[in-house]
Amino acid sequence: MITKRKKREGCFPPGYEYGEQERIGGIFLLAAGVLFSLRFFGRLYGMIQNLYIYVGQKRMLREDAEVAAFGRLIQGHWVPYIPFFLFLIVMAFYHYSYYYRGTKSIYLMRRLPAKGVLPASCVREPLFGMAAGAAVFGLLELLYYGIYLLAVPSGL
Amino acid sequence: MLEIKSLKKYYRTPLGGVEALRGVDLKIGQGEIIGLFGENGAGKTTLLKSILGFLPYEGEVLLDGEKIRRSNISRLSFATCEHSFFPNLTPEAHREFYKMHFGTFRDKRYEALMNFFELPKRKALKNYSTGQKNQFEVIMALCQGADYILMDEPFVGNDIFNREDFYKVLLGILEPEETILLSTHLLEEVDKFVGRAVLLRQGRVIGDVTMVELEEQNKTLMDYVKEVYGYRPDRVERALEELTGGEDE
Repeated sequence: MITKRKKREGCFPPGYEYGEQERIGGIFLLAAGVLFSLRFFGRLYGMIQNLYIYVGQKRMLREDAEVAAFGRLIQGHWVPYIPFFLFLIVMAFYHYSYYYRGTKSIYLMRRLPAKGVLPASCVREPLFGMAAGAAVFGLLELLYYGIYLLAVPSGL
Repeated sequence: MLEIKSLKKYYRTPLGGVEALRGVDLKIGQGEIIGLFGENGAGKTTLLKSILGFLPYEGEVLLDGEKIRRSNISRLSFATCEHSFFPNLTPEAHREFYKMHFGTFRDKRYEALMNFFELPKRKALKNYSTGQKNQFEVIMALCQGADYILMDEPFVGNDIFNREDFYKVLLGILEPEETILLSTHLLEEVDKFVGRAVLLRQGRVIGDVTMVELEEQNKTLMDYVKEVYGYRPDRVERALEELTGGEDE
């Protein structure tokens, strides 16, 4: 039976200590998500505020009130994710350099009869990270689209 | 048969370049135990790495008439003083790795050798001593199930008793079709172990002799090497005379 830990280890070069890398990747992804969220909520708040005027103490919808498209609110949304993706690319090269550190396990890897084992061991985790980042990204967009729909006054 | 034909290797350096191998021709039959000797920089390591395809080269390396590719690379194994294992893994994890990738892995031999040399199986290799690491490196090369076992100075750092034990065990366990190509400086130790000696100097094969031929000529391997290298036994005496002779007078 392949345990979860074994499956995780299989994403990296053999014997690679991935704890720290996972932590740093997690921080990058979390930071990207937080920045994206702050930008979105900031723009959403600004948009909502611009829809209303105050007549005395009463808040009233402007006659010419226009709701910005969701796309405008999330414009440039991918920018906070760039450091995360760059980190993953650097990690792929760092995985390759692992085979030269301490010993020359590259000599063993280059003798393996099965095709692609060496490159796969270097890029599997970064590709998995990119997919995870894209999934987080997509889920957040979906969630915030729902929030956007709820926030927009009815009739607009 | 492992055939090396006109093997040349040129390293580019900032100062021009170095011709590490200058047209090496060699035939290694299955079942041979060959000592590859030469001074530092003779080209021994370059030759072994070129055979394994780790370095680009000119010339040809054929295994039973075929170029060395993924389909036949597992017929070659390699033990190096640089160590090719994963330092964070245990021997048991290496055993699983080898079994996964090399269908010919010799499990019984692995058990026997690990027990004989009393190597801890569940200790990460980075925590082994240098001698233990060397032993493990050679064990895995022997247990891969390869026909041709290439070893590059595998015993650097091992004590003499350890090395002698290893030669004896190797001779005992090797099967008739297993071939060893051992690069070493330890001439006088391995002369009872090897069946043939190949001498390299400045990238060329300058000597190739079997132990049987040497025996017929009533020579030791050391005699042969000194002869081929043009070693002058009075060289040290003369140098010392030059250095101290005037003072004595």
